[in-house]
Formats: sequence, C-alpha cells, structure tokens
Amino acid sequence: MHSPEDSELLSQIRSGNERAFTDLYNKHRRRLLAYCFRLLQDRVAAEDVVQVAFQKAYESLSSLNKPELFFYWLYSIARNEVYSVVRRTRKNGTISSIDDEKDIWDEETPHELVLKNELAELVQYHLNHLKLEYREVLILRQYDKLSYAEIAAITGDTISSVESRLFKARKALAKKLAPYFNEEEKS
Amino acid sequence: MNCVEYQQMISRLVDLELKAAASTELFEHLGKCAECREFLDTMMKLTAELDKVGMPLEHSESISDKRFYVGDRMSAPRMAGPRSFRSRISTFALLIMLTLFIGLLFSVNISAQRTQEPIPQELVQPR
Ligand SMILES: [Zn+2]
Repeated sequence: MHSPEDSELLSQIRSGNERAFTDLYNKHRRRLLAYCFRLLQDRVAAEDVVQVAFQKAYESLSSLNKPELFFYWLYSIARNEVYSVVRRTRKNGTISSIDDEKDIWDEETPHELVLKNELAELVQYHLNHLKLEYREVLILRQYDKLSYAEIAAITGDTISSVESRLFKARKALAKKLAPYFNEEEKS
Repeated sequence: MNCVEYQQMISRLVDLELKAAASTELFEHLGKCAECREFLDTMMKLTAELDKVGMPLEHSESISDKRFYVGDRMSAPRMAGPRSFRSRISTFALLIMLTLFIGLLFSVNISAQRTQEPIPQELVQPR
C-alpha cells in the first residue's frame, strides 16, 4: 500500500522529475479504476473519475505532507470524485445519512426484476444495490484488501464506524442471499 | 455479551481484524450457539461468493489505452495482471482454517463431554 516506492517516486517528482508521476499513475491506475468502477458501475464515469483524481493529485502534490500516505490520499481524492458524480446524477442531489440503520439498500439505483439464474449474478445484483456508503467499505475490504484503519484513512471515518458499516452491509447481503447459499448446497 | 455482539465479532474475524483474546471468547460462544455458527457459515459463504464477482475489469482490456499526460508528455501505462492469486488464496485459506478450527473445537467439546460421563468399569479394569 504505502510502499517506499511511492515515497521514492514522490521525492523524484519534487526534485523535478515529472515523469515519475506517470510511474505513480501506472502503478495505481488499474486498481483505482477497479475501485471506482465497482462504486459507480459505469465504466466511462469510472475512467473519468480516475483521470480527474490523478489530475487533482498532480496539481496538489505539494499539499501532501506524508508521502508514505500517497495511496490513501489518492484514494480519498477519487472517492470524493465518486461522491460528486453520484450527487450530480441523483434526483434529489443528496446522499443519504449513513446513520440510518434500517436504510441499507439504495432505492435510487433502478431495481430491475430479479430473475437471476446464477448465484454470482444475484450476489453482484445485491452488492450493487447497497447504498454507496455501505458498498464502499465492503469493496475496500473485500477487493482492495484494506484493513479497517486503512479504510478509515480513505473514508475519513472512525475505525468503529467502518467496522459497523461492514457488519451491517454483510448482514443485509446475507439476509438476501442465505436462502440461495443453502439451495446451492443442496444441488 | 449477546449474539449480535458475537456476530459483530464474526464480521471482524472474517476481516482478520479480531484480536486473539476476543477470538478465544468468540469460539467458546460458537461451541454452544447454533445461531452464531450459522451466521459464521453464512459470512464465510458470502465472502467466498463476493470474491467470485470481484473482477469487473478482467475481461476488458481496452482501458490499457488510457494515458496520463504530464504537461505534454505521454506515457504508456504498464498493465497490471488480473486480481492477484494471493488474494484468492487468502480467502480460501481462511475458509479452510476456520473449518478446521471449528472441527477441532467440536471434537474437543465432544471429548470433554465424554470425559465427564462415568467411564464404564469394564473399560477401566484390565482384562
Ligand atoms: Zn450466539
């Protein structure tokens, strides 16, 4: 994550080697794109967010005090971009409060008729319908393999809030999917 | 502690964020609570299923054409491989580890129960 290589590249950039930024870009772009794509479910929008995030990171590199935290800093820039995209595309322009325990499912993501044959499709479907705030912690944990502390560094939450959102997201998904898990076992 | 709190611990366990002392306490509870055992089982299955859908970009390589411009220079991005084998291994290893652990827990429980039963005399006395 916060490999010394990032710090090394950043110090090269600071001493005038701008090309080192393209190394940073190459190093992190694909992973960042996967993260944004999972959040937005829109390839083009995700690519745009990644470009904007790198652009913003490049422009404000001087404000990064701890080069070893570049990765988290970059992710948090991308995350903010994702949230702005979602806000722009929302009917009411807001993102719901994450404190509402009962409200884990995203009602604004269009619900097509659930007629999925494959368990994987069902899992993907329900994952996509979790509210952004729940989906993002699950994605950062499950696919980016980040620790609670690392996720908290990106989302700006406390570790216990990250933990609690992960728990609620999993519990909500399990409620929807557990019957299918059992079905699959029988078959 | 109630079952919801233990289930929160299970979520931490799945994330490998549960401290050793807490896991001892959790596994003690799992030994006697079927509901939480089922929850653990569901969480493990969910984690495995989520892993299977976790590769949105694997089959679409057109993104490799993207370039990042620094000033007017252009760089050719290096493609990263598909999601690491290691990350899949880790979930798989966790599944096996937990299955073994629970199995062990039960065998310990069963043998503990056995030792509490009166031992038939014919087994104790030499023939
Ligand atoms: Zn319980």
